[in-house]
Amino acid sequence: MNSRGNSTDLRINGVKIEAEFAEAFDMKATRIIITGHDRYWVDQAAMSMTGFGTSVVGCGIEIAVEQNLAPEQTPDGRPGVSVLAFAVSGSELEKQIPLRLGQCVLTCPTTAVFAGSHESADDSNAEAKASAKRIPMGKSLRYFGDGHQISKVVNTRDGDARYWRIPVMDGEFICQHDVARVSGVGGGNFILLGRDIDAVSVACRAAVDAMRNLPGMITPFPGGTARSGSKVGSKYAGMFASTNEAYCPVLRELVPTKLHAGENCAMEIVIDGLSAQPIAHAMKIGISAACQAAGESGLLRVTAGNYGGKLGRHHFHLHEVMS
Amino acid sequence: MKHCVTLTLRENVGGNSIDGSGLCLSRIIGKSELEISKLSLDSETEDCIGELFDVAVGSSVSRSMVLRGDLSNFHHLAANHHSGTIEIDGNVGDYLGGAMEGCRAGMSGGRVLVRGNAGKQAGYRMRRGEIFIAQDAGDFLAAHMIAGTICVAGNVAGNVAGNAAGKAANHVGYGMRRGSLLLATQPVLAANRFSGPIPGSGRWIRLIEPVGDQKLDRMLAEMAAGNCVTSRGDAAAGGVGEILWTG
Repeated sequence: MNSRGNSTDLRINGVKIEAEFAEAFDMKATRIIITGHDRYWVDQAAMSMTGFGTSVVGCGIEIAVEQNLAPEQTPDGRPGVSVLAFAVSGSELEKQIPLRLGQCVLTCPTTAVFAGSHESADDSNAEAKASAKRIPMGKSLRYFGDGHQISKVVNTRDGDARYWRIPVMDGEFICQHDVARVSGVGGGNFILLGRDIDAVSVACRAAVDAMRNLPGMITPFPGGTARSGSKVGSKYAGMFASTNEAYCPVLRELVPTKLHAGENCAMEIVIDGLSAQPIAHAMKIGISAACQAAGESGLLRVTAGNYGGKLGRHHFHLHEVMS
Repeated sequence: MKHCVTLTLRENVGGNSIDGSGLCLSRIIGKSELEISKLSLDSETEDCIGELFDVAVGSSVSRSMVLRGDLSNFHHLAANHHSGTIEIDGNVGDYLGGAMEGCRAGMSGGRVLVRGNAGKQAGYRMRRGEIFIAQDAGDFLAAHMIAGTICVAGNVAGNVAGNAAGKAANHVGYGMRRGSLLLATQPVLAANRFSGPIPGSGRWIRLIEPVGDQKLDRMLAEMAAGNCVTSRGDAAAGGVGEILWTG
């Protein structure tokens, strides 16, 4: 139950929602659909493809499964998943996507790969479509066919779609030629603070479970959660990010802290989305679920991470998100 | 919604062969009924489209042209087709989607649906796109095909409208370089030109959007489910095209 005493005092199930905001950034994004003979192979391919994809800081891209897809939702009528990938630059996506598809999906038995993102509605004219940025998929992977690959252009209502059929040991690996690069938003977040690990862990799991399968967003960290919230820069040259000591309970008497009395554990849920709207929606769903799950068992406060609002142009104010 | 032009053949044109390459979607689309009626049918005659066809302009979900009537004497239809859909509600003549004399390639994209029979040399030197024939196809189907997809739900080895009665259609895929030919019946293929039958490999057929013809769509669904065999060739021309049939 929500209660609002004044503009700065919002509580859900007894958990204080701080009047803070999450600061997020413009990113480049794409959506890829992976299908397979059955759910087992789809999950194996997706797990491999999205591995080591938690943060652009060290992994190059942030990538995770967006949704499970039923056979009737996929281009080839088989079970599948949609995967969202985000990077700070288009060139990083163009480097990472073919690499991951080649090593993680092409190798996985029975799989096929399709474009899941398309040009925006504004790009409906042919000229805009032609100039839209594309990320290579089959365009790069076809060479694995060593000349035996087959190009197949299929006429669709939206124009031609090119696929590559690459002979492999279980038949053919079908891979769409390329996929559209679209704009995205990265770095939406909220931080859960509580009495102990049990309380915050339960809250995080409930939040991520509630956000799972929401369209247009991912939570790329392990289990959707990061315990290593970071600040920009470091005392060490060459480190782009380092621990956010203000939220480290073991440093609370040594450095200026943002932890309140009784808060001994903090975990952060980071959200990337294809636009601001799915991030805001996911934050609302996730925070509500966390508070309901652990509000009475040690979750004390919800806040959000930002850099003073000067670095990212997308600001998600917690009180607005929850209204 | 997009433009859809319907041309209905007014009368039987008799035994005269007519060059149908002028019935080109890109030439017609976007024009008014009057403008279309005044367009010449081909470069060699002064016949206008309006002299042979009733013209109606409407709207559709895709850029398309519908031809109604028996067009068995219209040859080289869709020779220059490159995008959109041409639907022929009847029979067509020879060289459907095929290259014109002196041209290296025929149709280069889009979709053609024939609800009746097609004559000889359908898909001759076809470069890209999709041809669907709901009934029978004549001799030299997909001859010298460069790429693309042709699907025939009828017979390619029996009597075909436009052929001399009793003459079996043959030379399927003659000189075929690449591309896919999907057949409802097993074709007669020369062993020195085409590989032996290879089971499976029809999964990609699921990517073809439904045609809107019950017979064709049923056949495609059956092949996509894996009920098909493939033969590759024409090896005599260094080709690696594929002929698939339900089996």
